[in-house]
Amino acid sequence: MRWARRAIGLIALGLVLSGCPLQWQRITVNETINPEDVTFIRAGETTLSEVVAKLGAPDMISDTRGGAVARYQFRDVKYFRVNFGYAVKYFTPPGVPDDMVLAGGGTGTHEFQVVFDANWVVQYHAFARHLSASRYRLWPFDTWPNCPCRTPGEEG
Amino acid sequence: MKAHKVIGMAATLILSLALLGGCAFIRGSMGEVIKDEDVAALKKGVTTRAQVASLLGAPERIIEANGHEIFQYYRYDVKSGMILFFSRTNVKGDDLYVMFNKNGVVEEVVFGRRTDRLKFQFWPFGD
Repeated sequence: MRWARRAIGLIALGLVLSGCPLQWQRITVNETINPEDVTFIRAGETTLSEVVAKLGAPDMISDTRGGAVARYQFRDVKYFRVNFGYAVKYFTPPGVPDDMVLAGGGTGTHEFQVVFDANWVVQYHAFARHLSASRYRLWPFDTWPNCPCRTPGEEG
Repeated sequence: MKAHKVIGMAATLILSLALLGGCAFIRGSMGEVIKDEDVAALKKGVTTRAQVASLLGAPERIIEANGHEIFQYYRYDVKSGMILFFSRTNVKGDDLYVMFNKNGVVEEVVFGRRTDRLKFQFWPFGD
């Protein structure tokens, strides 16, 4: 009988989880480049070919007054959703809405830029990091209930 | 066969089906595959703008940078996995830049392939 109970428990767990009210979703575009990956770059010495040989082709090349800019971009999107009305659907009549959803997320960006002179030699390079925006959020509002304070992570 | 073995096998089968019911693998792409042999056929100082267009087709973008005309070709590949309440979508792109001199002849070829490292994943945490 112990086997039967375990089997029924496993089946019930599987069926419940297969329609679970929780969702963690993530989308990543391209690959991150870390500071240690670009230590070989020397302003006034390193060429476009050498940069490409180590880092691959950039996602974008654009022109500026100061020279051409090669941009390597990374995107990270995180999204979390919970439906507190999930269990209610077993008790409500058909056609009655039963969703009570809280959800939140964010898109983080990360970019590495290399600026070249007219001979395609590196003038300078820099990172633009905004990855902290990418996070799973349960609470989508600006303040907690009965509290005028801002939610954690929203300061500044 | 003993009863508990039959129940165990049935439970495993039903559990597998239940789990697979919340499971999806999705694949998508944008643009044509940039073939290595086509890239290798671009010869610096020899291949002209018209020959590049004939070989690879019209570029997705034409850029002016550092006084050079640049043809940009790109392709994106998407792999998405979902199991139960976890899902992850990965996107990577291949980029080809062909730079021409003032006479419209290839001066530099820059190619990077990332799609060969694209993986199916479902776990949304970590790197």
